[in-house]
Amino acid sequence: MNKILVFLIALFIVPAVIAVGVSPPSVEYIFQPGMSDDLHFYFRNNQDRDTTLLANISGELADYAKITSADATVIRPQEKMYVDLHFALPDSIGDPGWHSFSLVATELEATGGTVGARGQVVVPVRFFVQYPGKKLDIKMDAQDAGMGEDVKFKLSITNLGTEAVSNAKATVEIYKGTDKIGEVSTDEFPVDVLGKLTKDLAWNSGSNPQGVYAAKATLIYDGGPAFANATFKIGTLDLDVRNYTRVVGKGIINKFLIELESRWNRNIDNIFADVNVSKGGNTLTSFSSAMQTLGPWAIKNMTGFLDATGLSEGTYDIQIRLNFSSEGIERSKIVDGQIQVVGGEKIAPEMKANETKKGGFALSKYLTTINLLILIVIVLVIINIIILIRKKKKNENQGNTYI
Amino acid sequence: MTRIERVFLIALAVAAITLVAAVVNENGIRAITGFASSGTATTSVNLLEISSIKTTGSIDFGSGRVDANASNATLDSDAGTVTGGSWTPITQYITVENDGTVNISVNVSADGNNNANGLIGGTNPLFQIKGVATEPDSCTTLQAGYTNVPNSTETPLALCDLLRYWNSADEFNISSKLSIPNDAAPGQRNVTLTFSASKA
Repeated sequence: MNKILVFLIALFIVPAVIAVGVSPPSVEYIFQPGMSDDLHFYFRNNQDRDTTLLANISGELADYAKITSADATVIRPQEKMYVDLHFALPDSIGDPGWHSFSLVATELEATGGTVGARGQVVVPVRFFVQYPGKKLDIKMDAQDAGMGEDVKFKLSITNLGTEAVSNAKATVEIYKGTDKIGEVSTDEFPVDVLGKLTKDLAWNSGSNPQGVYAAKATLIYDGGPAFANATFKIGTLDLDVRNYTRVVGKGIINKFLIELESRWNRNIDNIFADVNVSKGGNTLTSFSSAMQTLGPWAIKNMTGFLDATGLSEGTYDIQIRLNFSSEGIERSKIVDGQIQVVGGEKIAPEMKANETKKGGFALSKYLTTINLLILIVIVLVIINIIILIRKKKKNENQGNTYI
Repeated sequence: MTRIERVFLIALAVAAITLVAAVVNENGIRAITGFASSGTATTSVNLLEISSIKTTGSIDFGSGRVDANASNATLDSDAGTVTGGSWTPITQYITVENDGTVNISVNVSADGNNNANGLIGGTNPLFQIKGVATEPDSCTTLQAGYTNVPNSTETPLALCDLLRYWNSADEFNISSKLSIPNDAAPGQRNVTLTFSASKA
């Protein structure tokens, strides 16, 4: 049985690309007993061949909706079509919260192969059943900030109930670990039925150190409290060297990576690294590298080239001096460590791939079409000038006037 | 003018024209004319919200058999490896792209009864897929470890909770891993994965 031949192949020549698109991507209603409506969905074919789309309805409320146009249609290249749908809901569709059915559009063709693919778009049609009485929902977004700057909180408050709320108040508490270190509150405010509003709060980070903090929002109103949580970072204009190339090959120029992590909530610009390799306090080789910009909290490799042609095998001290700035403020930082110089055959394969041989010149980098054409033009111009000069001399020798 | 002079002059002219054409082709006409690349104007535009998903490519393992002394053969289209079988190793992916104008979530399931048991059969078969990131930050959470593929009646596999729509972060790859036991029935196998997109 272990010699069973299993064919994992496709039978047909099939399209390589499958795509399906539907608009609108979602529809939402506030539920009303017995409500009904007609919907029109736009299907498009962005491909350069015919495509067949099949539309159907699925989901919790599928029994209350039906497609009133054709449910399967061939769409010509770059053309569109519409699918019409009608729904009629009963007086009740369930508990407070969201309920839905979905229009599902599936492309009938697939890419084929042992494992092929097709696309499908699901368009939810959602109905929100309001909570009886008073029910507020709160969501919070917290922005990162630098030390001493304001941390901004955006509170989104929605009345999901059937009754208006006359007095609500939101408080945001700030925690470092389990320690509460700050608190800000809104004034009292009303929220109408189905009302949505935002409240902005700010808390000054003061001298709190760089790190991750937690914010807990509590919304107090006469229907009961509601809560939301968020985290934010307090940054400082600093760079961490997360890692760097620890092993290099002797006798060659090595690609050298310095992995940097930003601790700042804005861009860090003009990053320069001066790297010194030394032994016993004597600098043996050095190089510089630069990076234009590192985004907020980003981690990125800085690339340089370490010339180990004069180094023998062994362990060396390395010092990475970083200079960088943000919005005119300059900083510098020194990181000390060690590297190991080994024989070429001991370098990991991925590191070998990055090597540049001693005195090597990446000719292929300059072999572009334009550069070759420039070279050809220059050569031809020189040849024509030589021909011209020779002809002129010949004419002068013959006593003729050359025009 | 001698013949050789004419030849070199014509060659110079042709080379110069070709050079200009190459520069225009590479940089656009603005590069050599000084044509303004920016300006100010007032316009009005309505960007249509559309959910759209594009799938490209397939994974073809070809034909082969489980080795005589192996209990199963394992084929991995990401690692490009085959162990315990005679299939030719391949490195192939299906690319999933959000080509709409809203963020989407992406789920996947196989057609018909094509989970591992339905597709391959035998003792302890395996049919898994995983997401392979090709663009940084395209998915907030990508299912990056090999996971069993559900059939059409099972709960779809959540691949990507939020696939963005801008070009630099709107796609990822899918690779597949099969484990074919030595008691699997011979014959052709193929399966279609349905990648389902919904506004995130």
